[in-house]
Amino acid sequence: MAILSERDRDAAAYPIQSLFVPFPFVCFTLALATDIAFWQSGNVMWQNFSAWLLCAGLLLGSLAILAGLMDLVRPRTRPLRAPLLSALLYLIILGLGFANSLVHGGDGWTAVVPYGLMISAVTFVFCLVAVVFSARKYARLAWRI
Amino acid sequence: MMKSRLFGASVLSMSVGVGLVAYAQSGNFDISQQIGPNPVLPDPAPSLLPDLKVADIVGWKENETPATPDGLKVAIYAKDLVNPRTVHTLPNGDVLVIQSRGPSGEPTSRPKDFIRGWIMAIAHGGRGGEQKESNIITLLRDTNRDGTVDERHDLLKKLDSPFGVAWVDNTLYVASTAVILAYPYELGQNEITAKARIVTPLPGGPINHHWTKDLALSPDGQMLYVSVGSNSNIVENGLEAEKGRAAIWQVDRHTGAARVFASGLRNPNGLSFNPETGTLWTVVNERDELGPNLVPDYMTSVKEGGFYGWPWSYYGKHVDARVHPPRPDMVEGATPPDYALSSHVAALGLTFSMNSALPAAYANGAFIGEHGSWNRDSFNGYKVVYVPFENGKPSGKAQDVVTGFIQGDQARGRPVGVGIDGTGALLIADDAGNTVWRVASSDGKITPQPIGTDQVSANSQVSTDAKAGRTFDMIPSIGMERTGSTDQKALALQPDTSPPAQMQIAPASDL
Repeated sequence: MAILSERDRDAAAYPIQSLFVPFPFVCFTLALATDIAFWQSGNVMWQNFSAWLLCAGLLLGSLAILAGLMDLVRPRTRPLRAPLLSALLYLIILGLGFANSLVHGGDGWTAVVPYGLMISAVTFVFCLVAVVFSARKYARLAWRI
Repeated sequence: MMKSRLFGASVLSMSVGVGLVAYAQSGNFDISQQIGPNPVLPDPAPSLLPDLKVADIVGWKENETPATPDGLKVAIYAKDLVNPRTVHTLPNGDVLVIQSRGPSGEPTSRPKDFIRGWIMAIAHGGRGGEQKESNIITLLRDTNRDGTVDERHDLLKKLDSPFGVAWVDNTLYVASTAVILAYPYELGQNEITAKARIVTPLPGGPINHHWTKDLALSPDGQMLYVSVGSNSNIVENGLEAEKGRAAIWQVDRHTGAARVFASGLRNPNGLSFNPETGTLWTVVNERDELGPNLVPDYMTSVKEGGFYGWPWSYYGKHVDARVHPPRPDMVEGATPPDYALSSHVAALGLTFSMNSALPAAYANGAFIGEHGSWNRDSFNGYKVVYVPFENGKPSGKAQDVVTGFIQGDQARGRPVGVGIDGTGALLIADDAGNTVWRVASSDGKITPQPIGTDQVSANSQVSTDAKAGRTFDMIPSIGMERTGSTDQKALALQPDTSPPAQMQIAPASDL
C-alpha cells in the first residue's frame, strides 16, 4: 500500500470550490462600480462592462456550485464544506446576479437605471452579509475571504 | 446544499414567471387596433425576458405556394435564388432580383449579442451547411410577356450586401451596404463588365446593425433617395454610432453630394414615390423590446427635413425612457407617421399599384411586404398586405393579399421586397424561401406596356452629362472587394464647404 507523500495529501485536501467561489463576489462588486460609473457618465462602455461582469460572475459562480458538490463527496474536503447559511446566501447572490443580468440585457438607459443599479446594490449588501457571516466560520479559509 | 439548490431553482422560475405575465397580457390585445392612421398604443411592457418567438425556416415543398384571395393567382417567377431581397423592373420589362446576405463582423459588445446572433441565424435559415453564394444581382427576362421567365443572367456578383437599385440614363445605380455604385448599363444587356463609379459612400461597418440601403429615383430623374437604418435597436451602441443614420438621404446622382433629407426613421426601407402625388413614401421598422404591441411599424410619406422621433420618441411625442439624456426639444419636433401597420411585422418592401394589371380592387394603393416578427409571443407579419389609397393618402384598412408564408410555428418563406413586373403583376422577393413569387390577375390580364419601377416624368430634363465637374474613382473589379480603401478616397473628394451628411447626427438639422 503506497503511502501518500505529504504533498499529495495536501492536494487531496484542497477544496476545488475555493478556486471559483470568490468570482461572484468580485464580479458583482465591480458590476456595482461600473453601474455607478454608467449612471454618472452615461457612457455605454460602463454598461457593457457591467453586463460582462455579471455574465462572468454567473458562469464561474455556477462552476463554484459544481465544485462545491464535488468537494462534498470527497472525504478529505467534506469537513471544509460551507455551512448551510453561507451556501444559501451564496445562492441568493447568484440568483440576484441572474435577475440582474436579465435587467442588464435590456437596451439603453433603463437597463441600468434604476433597477439594474438597485439590484447591483442589493447584491453587494448580500455579499457583505455573506462575508460577515462566513468570516466567523472556518469557511473563510475555503473561501479565502 | 440540497435546499439551497431548490432556492436557486425558484429564483430562476420566478424570473421566467415575470416574462410569462407579460405574455398573458398580450393575449387579449386586438392587433387590428394598430392598423391605420391612429394606432392604439399600450403602455410600454418590457419584460425581464424579452418576448421571443422565432419561426423555424422549412422552405417550400414542391407545389406549395403562398395563398391569395379570389381574383388573384400565384406562381413561381424564379426559384433557386440565394436570399432574394428586392425586385426592380426596368423600363423594358426586365426584372432585376437583388440577392443579398447581411454583412458579417458586427462586434460582440455584450453577452446578449451572442444570444441575439444565434436567434437571428434561425430566423434567416442560416444554420448548418455551407452557405451558397449570395450578393448577386440577377436579371430575369420574360421575352414573350406570358408571366414566366425565359432568360436568366447574373449581372453582378460579389457585391457588398446590395439592396436598392435604380436605373436611369443608361446607368444602373446599386446601393450596396457602404456605398452607392453606378454601372454603365443599357437596357437589354445580359452582362455588366464595365467598372463601377462611386457615387457616394454610405454609413457602413463595422457595426452596421441595420444594413439594408434602399434606393429610389426622384420623379425628375436627378436625385437618388437612400434609406440608412439605425446602428442599434435604441442607441445601445451610443449616439456617436448613429451619425447620418436612421435617416433618408438625398444624393445628387451626378455629383454624389449627399445630405440628410429626413431623419428619426429607425429602419426605413421600401422607398417609393407615389405616382399620383410625387411624394416619397417609406415603410419603417420601429423599435423592439417595449412589449409585444409596441412599437407599431409604419408606412409614411416623407417630408423634407422631417423628423420622425427615433430614438427619443415614437409616434410623435411618446417618449422612450431608454434614451439618455432625454431631449424634450427633439420630442417636441417629432412628426407622427401616416399609417401604422401593427407591431413587429417588419415591413421591408413597398410598391404602389402603378397602373398594374391587377384587379380593380388593387387599382390605387400600396403593397407592403412584411418579413415577420421575432420580438413577440405570437407571430405577426409574414405576409403581403395592400393598403388602398385615395388622393395620395391611405384610405382604408390594410388587407391581406398574399399569406401562407407561415404555417404553425414554421416559416416556409418570408416576404421582403415587392414590385410590379413588366406585365403588371405583383412580384414578391421571398428571402427565406429563396423564391420570387408572381401574383397576377387570375383572368390573365396584362398591361399593354411594361412599366418600370423608376418613374421619371416625361417633361423633366434629364442631364446626360453625368461627369460634369467631378473626377470619379474607378474601382478595379466588378463589385466591391475593396470597400474600405475606396470609401476613403471618395470621402476625400467631398467638398469641404459644408459638413458632409454622414457627419451630421440624425436628425437632420439646418436643412
